[in-house]
Amino acid sequence: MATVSERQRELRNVACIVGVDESDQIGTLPNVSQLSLHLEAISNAVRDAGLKVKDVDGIFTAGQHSPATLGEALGVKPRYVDGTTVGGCSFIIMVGHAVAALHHGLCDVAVVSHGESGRSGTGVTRSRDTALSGQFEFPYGFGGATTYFGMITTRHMHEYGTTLEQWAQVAVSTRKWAALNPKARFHDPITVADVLNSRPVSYPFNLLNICLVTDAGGAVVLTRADRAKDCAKAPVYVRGFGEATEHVMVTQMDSLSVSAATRLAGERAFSMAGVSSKDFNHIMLYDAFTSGPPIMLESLGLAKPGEGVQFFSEGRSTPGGSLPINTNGGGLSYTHSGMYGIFPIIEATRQLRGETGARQVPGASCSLVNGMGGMLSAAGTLVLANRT
Amino acid sequence: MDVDRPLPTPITPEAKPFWDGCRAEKLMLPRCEDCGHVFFYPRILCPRCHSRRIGWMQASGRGTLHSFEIAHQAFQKAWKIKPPYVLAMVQLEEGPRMMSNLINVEPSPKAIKCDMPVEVVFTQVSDDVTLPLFQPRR
Repeated sequence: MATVSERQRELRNVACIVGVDESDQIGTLPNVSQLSLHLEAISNAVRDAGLKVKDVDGIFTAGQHSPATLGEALGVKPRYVDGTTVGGCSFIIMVGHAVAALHHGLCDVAVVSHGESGRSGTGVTRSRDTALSGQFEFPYGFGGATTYFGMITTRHMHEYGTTLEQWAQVAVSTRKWAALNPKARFHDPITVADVLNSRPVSYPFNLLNICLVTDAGGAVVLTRADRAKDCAKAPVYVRGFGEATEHVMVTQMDSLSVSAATRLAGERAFSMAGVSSKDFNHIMLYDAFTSGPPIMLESLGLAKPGEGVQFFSEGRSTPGGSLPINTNGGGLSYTHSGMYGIFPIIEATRQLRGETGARQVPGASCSLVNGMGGMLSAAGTLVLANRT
Repeated sequence: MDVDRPLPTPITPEAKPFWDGCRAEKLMLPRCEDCGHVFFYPRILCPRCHSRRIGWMQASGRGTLHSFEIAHQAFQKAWKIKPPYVLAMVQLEEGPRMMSNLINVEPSPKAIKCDMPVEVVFTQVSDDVTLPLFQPRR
C-alpha cells in the first residue's frame, strides 16, 4: 500500500474549492476560440466563488496554452504557475498542487483552468510529441485513444471474462444521469442493444463505447480554508489528493488490466484523507471509454479484479442507486473536449453543495474523483467533502 | 514502391540498430549487459537496473498475442490499407511487448484470441523500411 508522509497528511482540509463553472456554453462551438473557453470558464468560476479575476494570483492549466498565456489574457501577473501536462487528469492533479501552494502561501487564490476546442479546432495550434509513437505505434495504424484503450479492454475481457454487454451497461447508466443534466449533450435513454448495434469503430469498441468530442471549458477556484469562509458558497474541502504516472505507451504497462498509476494515486489520496473505499457516497470517474470506470474501480480497490462492471450492471451506479457514479452524464454523454479532468471536479463540487437539482445525490457528503491521463498512464485522485 | 502506411519517423539514434535489423530481417532487441534485462523500445539506459551498458540481441521472432483490436476505419491519414485490419500487441518470448499488426488471419474475434502463439513476418513497406509484422504461428 502506498501511504503518504505525515507532512502530506497535514495538508488535509487546509484548502477548499470555492468556485466552479463551465464556459458560457459547451458542445459544438465553432465561433469560440480555445482561449475564450478558458477565459469564460475562469470568469464564471471566479464569480461563482464571489471573488474577482484580479484576486487570482495562482494559475494552473494543462494543454496547449501555458499559464503565462492565461495570465496575459486575463491581465493578471500570477505569482505561482503550474503547467503540468500529463493528460486529461492534469487538472485533478493540479488541485493537489494548488493545495500545497496555498498552504505555503505561494498564492492565495488558485484557479485551475481547462479550455479545449476539441471538436471545432477554433484557435488551436495542433502539435503533439510523436517521437516514440511515430516509430513504434503509428506504422501499424495506431493513432488516437481508441486504438490504445481497446488493447487494455480486450486484455481485461480475456483475463476476467468481462463482456461487451457489461461494458455497454456503463454507457446505459451514464446516459441515465445525462438525461437529468440540462447541460449534457445527449438526453435520450439508450439500451445495451443500442450500444452493441452502434457503428463498429475498433473492436471491442462501438461508437457508443467512446466518449464525445466537444468544445468546452471549465475552471475550479481554490483558496485556504480560513479565507473560504468569506466566499459566496459553502466550501468543499480537499481532504486528500494523490497522483502517479506509470507509462505513456501501453506496451510498457506492468499489467494491462490493472492501472498501477490509478492504484498508487488512489492509495495516496485515501491515506492522506484517512478514508477507506466505504466512505464515499458519490463517485466521479474519467470515462473516455466504457471500460475505464470499471477498471478504475478495480484499480482503486473499490471492486475486486473483474468485478467493477457489477457496479453498473446491478444498478448501484444509476439515479437512485446506492453508489451514484458519473452523475453529470460523463464524458460519454455530457461533454468531453479532450482533456476531461476538470469536469468531474466541477460535478463533485456541485453535488457536495447540493445544487444539482434533478440529479442531486441525497446526502452527498464525501466524493471520490479519479481521472486518468493518456491511457491510464497518469492518474489523479481527490477525496472531496463538504465538511472537515 | 507505393507506401500504404505511415513510415516510422523520426528514427532516433538509439533505435537505429532495431530498424537496421528489420531491414536485414532480424528482430534485434536491446539487452542490458549488466542485469540481462531485455526491453523494448530502445533506450540508452536499462529501465530495470539503470545501467548505461546496453547491447543488442537477436530475438527468436516468436511470441504470443497479448492483446488486439480489429480496426474498422483508418486512424492515420497515411493509412491506406482497407479495413478491417488487426492492431496487435505482441508479447515476445524474450519478455518485452511491442505493437504490430496481426496478418494472414481472419479479422474476427472468433479467429483471434489473446495469448495465441504468433511469429514475426518481415514486411518491406518502402525502399528503406521493413516492419516486423506477425501472423499466427504455423
